[in-house]
Amino acid sequence: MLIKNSVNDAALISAYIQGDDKSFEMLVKKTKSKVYTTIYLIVKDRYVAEDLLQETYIKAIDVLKGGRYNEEGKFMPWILRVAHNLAIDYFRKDKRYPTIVLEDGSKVFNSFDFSEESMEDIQLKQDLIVNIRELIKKLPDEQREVLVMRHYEELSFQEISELTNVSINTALGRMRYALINLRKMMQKQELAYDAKLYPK
Amino acid sequence: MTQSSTPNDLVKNLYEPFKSYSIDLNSDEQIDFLAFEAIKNQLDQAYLEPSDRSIQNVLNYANQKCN
Repeated sequence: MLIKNSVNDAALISAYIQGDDKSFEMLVKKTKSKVYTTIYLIVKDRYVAEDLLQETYIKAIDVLKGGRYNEEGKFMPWILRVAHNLAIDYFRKDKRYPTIVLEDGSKVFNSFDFSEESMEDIQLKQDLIVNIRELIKKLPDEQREVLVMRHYEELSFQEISELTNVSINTALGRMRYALINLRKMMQKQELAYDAKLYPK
Repeated sequence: MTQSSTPNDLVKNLYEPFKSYSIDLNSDEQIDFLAFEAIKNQLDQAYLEPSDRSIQNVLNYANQKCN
C-alpha cells in the first residue's frame, strides 16, 4: 500500500543526513512499492527486482551521505529515476523473452493457448494472466517503458519525450498503443476463459 | 471552448487533463476513453511490495552509514 506524502521529504532527508536513520526508514516505506513495481515491470523477474531495489536504495544512501544530493526534497521522482536507470541497464544487458517467472522462481512459457492442458495448468495460467502485471510484461519494450514511466514513475509526457529522445506525440502514441494492447489482451483472455467455461 | 480530438489527445487527457478547454468526443471516442480509464484503474491495482528481507538489508545499510 502506498503511504500518503504527509511528512515532508526534504525534512526526512535532512534528518537522515544528520544521523537519524528512522527518517530514511520513513522514506523507504513511502517509496518502496513504487520503486519495486517500476523495477519489476522493466526487468520482469522478482528476484532481479529485489536485488536492484536494494542497489537503488544503497546508491541513494551513498549519494545522501556523500553530500551529493541536490534534488530540493523531491525524493520520489529522484529515487524512481535511479531505479529506472538501474533496471534499464540490467534489461538491456539481459533481455528475458518470452518467459514469465512465477513466485517460486520457476518459469512458464508465455502463451495464451490453453488447448490440451490439464485443469491445473489452465488454472495456473488463468491465475497468472488475469493479473495485469503479466499483461504489462507482454507489451513491446517501447510501449512498456512509456507506460511504466507515465503511470508508475508519474513522469509527464514532456519529461518522457526528453528522456527517451522522441517527440511528445511519439510518447503519447506509444502510451496509446500500450493501452490498446492491454485492452486487446484482456479481451482475448476473457474469450479464452469463456471458451473453457462454456465449451460449444 | 471545445476542440475536436486526435487519437493521442485521449491519452493525454486521461493522464494530463486539458485545463483551458474540453475535448469534443464522439460516441466511439467516448467508448475508447472509458476503456482506457478502466485500464488505468487496473494499473493502479498492479503495485507490488518487495520482500521484508530486502527492505531490512537496505535499512541495515542505512543504519550502518549513520554510525
